[in-house]
Amino acid sequence: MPATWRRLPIWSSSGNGLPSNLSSEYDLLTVARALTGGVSAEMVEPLLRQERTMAPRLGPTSVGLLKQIIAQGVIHDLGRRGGWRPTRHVNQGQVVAGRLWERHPVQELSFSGWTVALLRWLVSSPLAVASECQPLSVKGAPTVGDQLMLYLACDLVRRCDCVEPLGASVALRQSPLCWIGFPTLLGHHQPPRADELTDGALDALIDAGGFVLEALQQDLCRRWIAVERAKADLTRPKEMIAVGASQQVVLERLAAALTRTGRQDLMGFMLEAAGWLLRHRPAAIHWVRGIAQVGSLSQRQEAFRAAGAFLEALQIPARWVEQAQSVRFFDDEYETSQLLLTRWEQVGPEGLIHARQLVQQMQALDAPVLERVDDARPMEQVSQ
Amino acid sequence: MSRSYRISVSETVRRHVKVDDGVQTQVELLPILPAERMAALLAAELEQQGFECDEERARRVEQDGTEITVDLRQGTVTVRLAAVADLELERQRSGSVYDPKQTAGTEAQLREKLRQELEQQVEAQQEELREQVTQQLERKLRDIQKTIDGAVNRSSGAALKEKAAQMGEIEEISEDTETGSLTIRVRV
Repeated sequence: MPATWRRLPIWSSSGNGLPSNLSSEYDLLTVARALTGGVSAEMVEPLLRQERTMAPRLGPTSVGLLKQIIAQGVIHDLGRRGGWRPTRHVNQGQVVAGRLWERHPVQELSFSGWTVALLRWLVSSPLAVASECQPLSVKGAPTVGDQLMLYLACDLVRRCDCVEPLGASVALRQSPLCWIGFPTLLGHHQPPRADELTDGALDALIDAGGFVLEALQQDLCRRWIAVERAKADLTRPKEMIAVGASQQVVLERLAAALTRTGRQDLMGFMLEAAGWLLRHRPAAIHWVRGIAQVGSLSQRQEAFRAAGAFLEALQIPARWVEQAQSVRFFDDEYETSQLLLTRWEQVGPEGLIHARQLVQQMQALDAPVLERVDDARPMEQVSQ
Repeated sequence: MSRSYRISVSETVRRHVKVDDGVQTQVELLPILPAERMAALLAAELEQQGFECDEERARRVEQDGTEITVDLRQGTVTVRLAAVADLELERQRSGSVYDPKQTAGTEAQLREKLRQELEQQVEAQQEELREQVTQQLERKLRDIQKTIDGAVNRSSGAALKEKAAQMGEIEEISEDTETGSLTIRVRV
């Protein structure tokens, strides 16, 4: 927003002809609609990029409208992002099939002051200028509903290409759902610390928001595929190291939490993404093309190892699968084990062997000279 | 009419720089025999490749200074190459002032700029040296990997033969050097 806009008196008319406090509420409601898929990202991009003075509080009409937008929009968006797919998941130890609303007939999501603070931050902060953007910081713990809004905000900001302030925002870094969906956006400078992605927060998310994670499986799969494919474009070893470290921490802690809560089915997004990535048996160079000739060998080797973080983490579900294969048909866990084995088919033993070979190549002594020795197939075959 | 004063300063930097680069990896030693015995077999294989071994590690320094170290117990392989150089850089700068009172200040400014330029030049030359070391090491990595892999495979084969001999009487051993497969028939 140009500086002249900031100097306008509070009741003066702004671009849409409304008094500025109503105008800022209008913008806030527009951003809320964009978060939940009601309007396109392009429509709100200028709002996110520029600075905006917000009215100190929302009026009762705006609050009513905001409730309505969130209540209708969030459900619609969860369905659109993958909840519509008839699939199978574990619910209270039993495998349940159907669409999201058939598997979980009645579910409630509550939204607290976090959501309002998030919306105000999105509208008021110049997200395109990271140095002028105050990090989002909110007291207390976010509800599952708030975390979903934070997740949707990360996605919206990503589509508007102004992601730089996300990693510095304490509130976003405290949300396990954001870390699961956007590990590289939040962790491209620093991976999650122990006090940011805690076991307690992960367990709480899975317990109270398991159905949200179920609905987002397809979305998460797309996100992780995009992250893996984007690694080829990274040109700084340090960036790759940070990305790999974030992925490793997120996947390890999520897997540990899913094991504790008996919800390994929620790791399905990882298996689907791995199956997609490995289906054409791509060469290791597709992960490290951008850094193949950059920096010292020691730096390069560290970055190569980081590039294989996702593939290396496949060992975790592979261990689950080994256990699942030994469950007999009369055991209590037979159905959930079979569900896991079905999901694993997307990767399969050949996929796992290929993933291990890729990791070995990335960790070998001659990994830093990979491009010269690797008979890499064209990327088009991988990116279909 | 004012007269200008020409100020010339020269600075010399002498540095002894050392750069190094290296990689580290883990080789998989199959636990066919106790760890001590596996380490001894690997050490024997590496000795044949020119490594000097003690109980803990094997080490080989090549003619160009590349140092290969294998931790026999952990299976960690480290390859390093270092280079040293004595740099001596000299530069001159000059400037003009019209007020003789400003001579000292201008000279200090010129000297400071010169120092910064020389520091940048030292860093650039150091980076150039590091790149040379990296390129030198890059050319050798594949051969080193082959040497280590070969030694590990042969030591695993020797361990298998030893294990088979412990289990019973060896009747037949067939080895395929191309594929590295080893078949041992044992009468128990």
